[in-house]
Amino acid sequence: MQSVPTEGLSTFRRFRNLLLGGLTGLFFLFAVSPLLLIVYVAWNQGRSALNWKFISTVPTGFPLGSEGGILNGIVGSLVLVVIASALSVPVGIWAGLYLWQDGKSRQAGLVRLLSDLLLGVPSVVWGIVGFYVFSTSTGVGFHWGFSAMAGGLTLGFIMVPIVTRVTEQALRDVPMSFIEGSYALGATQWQTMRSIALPGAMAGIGTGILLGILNVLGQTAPLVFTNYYNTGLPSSLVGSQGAVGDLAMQIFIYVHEPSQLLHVKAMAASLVLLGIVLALDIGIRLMTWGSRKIAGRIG
Amino acid sequence: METPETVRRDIPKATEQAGDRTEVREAPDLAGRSERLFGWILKGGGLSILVLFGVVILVCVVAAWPSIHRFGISFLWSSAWNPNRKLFGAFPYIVGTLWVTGIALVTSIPVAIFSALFLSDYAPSWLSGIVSTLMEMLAGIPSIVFGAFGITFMVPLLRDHFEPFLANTLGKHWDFFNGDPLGYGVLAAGIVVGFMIVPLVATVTRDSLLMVPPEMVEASYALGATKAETVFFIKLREVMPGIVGSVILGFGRAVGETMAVLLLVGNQPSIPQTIQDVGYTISSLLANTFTYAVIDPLYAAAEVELGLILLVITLAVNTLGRELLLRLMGGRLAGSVGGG
Repeated sequence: MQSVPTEGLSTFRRFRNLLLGGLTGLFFLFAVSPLLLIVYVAWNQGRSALNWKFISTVPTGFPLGSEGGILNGIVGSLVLVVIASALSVPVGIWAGLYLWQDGKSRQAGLVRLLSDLLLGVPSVVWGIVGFYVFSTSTGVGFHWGFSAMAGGLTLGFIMVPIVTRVTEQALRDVPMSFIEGSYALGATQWQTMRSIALPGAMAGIGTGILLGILNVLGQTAPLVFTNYYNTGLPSSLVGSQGAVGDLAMQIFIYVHEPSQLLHVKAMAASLVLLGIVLALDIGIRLMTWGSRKIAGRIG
Repeated sequence: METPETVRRDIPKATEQAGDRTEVREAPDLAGRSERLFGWILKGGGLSILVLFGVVILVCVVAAWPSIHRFGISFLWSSAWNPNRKLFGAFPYIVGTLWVTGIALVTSIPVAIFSALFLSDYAPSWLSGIVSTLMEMLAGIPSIVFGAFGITFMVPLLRDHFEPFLANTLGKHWDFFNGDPLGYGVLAAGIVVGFMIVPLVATVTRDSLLMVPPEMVEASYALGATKAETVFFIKLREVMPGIVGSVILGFGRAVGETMAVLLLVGNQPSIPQTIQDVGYTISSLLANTFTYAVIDPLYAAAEVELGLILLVITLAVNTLGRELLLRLMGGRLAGSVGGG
């Protein structure tokens, strides 16, 4: 929007014009200040603990973690994200294809509403659901205990609606003329979807998967209910030895300890987590340089 | 030269003809059974969302049932919480949640609306991509990192500077602002959660501001309004439903916020009397004690019932906010992911 000439206006209106405009900028700086402050504080307090040994060893010493690093957390987070993606990518794309194909029908409207509502389910509720479905040793359920499978699949539940929404949006962004052209050439629904719609939407769907991973990487609360934490490297995925480490859980446990040294380690781990999350975030933005509307949708 | 009446009579005729022409006969079903099968397979994708939603509701209701059955509706306003005597009541946790959410909304709404106006109208065009990216990146910072930041930065700041200042100024006249400057408490948790929901409220408000028809803005300028008058009195009023919708989504996000609150709110099951008091929220109680509670079925059921209350609140609030925004924006709506 161009600037509007203000000559000849009363002093009050000119002053108000400048004041309100300036305030929007000030409030914006205030709003994004945590982004810069958090990176600064984490760097300032965690830098001293950050070195190669910190990345490449598991916690040892007393209190546990005062020596060694966060390798358990990095490996565990990776395991959890892989399990979560293995569930949510196929299911989310499947549901997204349905929403795209069925479009404006009433059933699709209901599915879309429920999918959007699932996006807003609080993480502790996902934790409860994951606990009773996967972890609990009584009643119906999988009886996997606090384990990587339980934690990973719970994170997968959280990812499903994210992948669904972005898949549908990416499919909608494929030009309708391509789809119509395919049908006009006599292709079936299946052929059109496989050869025209899905390849066209692939970049958008990839973005959606990365967005989902970005979201579950920072999730801590659901893991408190389903996986908790392990200071060693994963040896199995289910059962009493099935729990894995996790970066976010590790930060949580370290800041809860009354030890200055562990607080420094928590800040260093935050720095690593922030680095991964922000790098992923920037990567998504570079990928979708041309079509920003997808990246801005969720998160 | 045709009179207006003739023109008006002609229009329905023309569309009737167009309608006749585009009416096509049902195409012969060449692909037949495999196509129908494919349609059914796709429906399974929709069904999986229904099943997931059903599982969430079912697990919460079934697991909470012993508590619902035992305490009935009085669970909501009972303050007893004594696992040894098997007495459970949700009141302190509901109040604590409302305190933190209330403070978060009060601190974030003005910041978010002004930021949204900056993003949509005031940021110069060469900067607008960068500032929008910064705002969206803020939304990606994990809750636990916000919490750790709160402990190392916000708590000392509140304890040593802001809370004593508040008690010595406003606190002299209103007890509401008084209290022991601990740093931890509903104020610390509320401010940090407020920062966490600003990106959601700001980006949804920005999206609705971008939907204001340019004719309206031009008309305002043509009448001699300044830029600020146009933006604040015309555009902002026009998108009021969008702002209400985005604030509702922000509320839905804030009530479920867990890890940052758990680290900052103080975790005392007392009912906060002033802004500087400590408290306990539903989500932080669950994350803190659920693993102990599972030993006793009634204790676990009471905690799940708290989770069910949280779930019902977020479902109701998100349905409402979604409806408002869909009406305004016609289908394109920023999602609301429950924070971790």
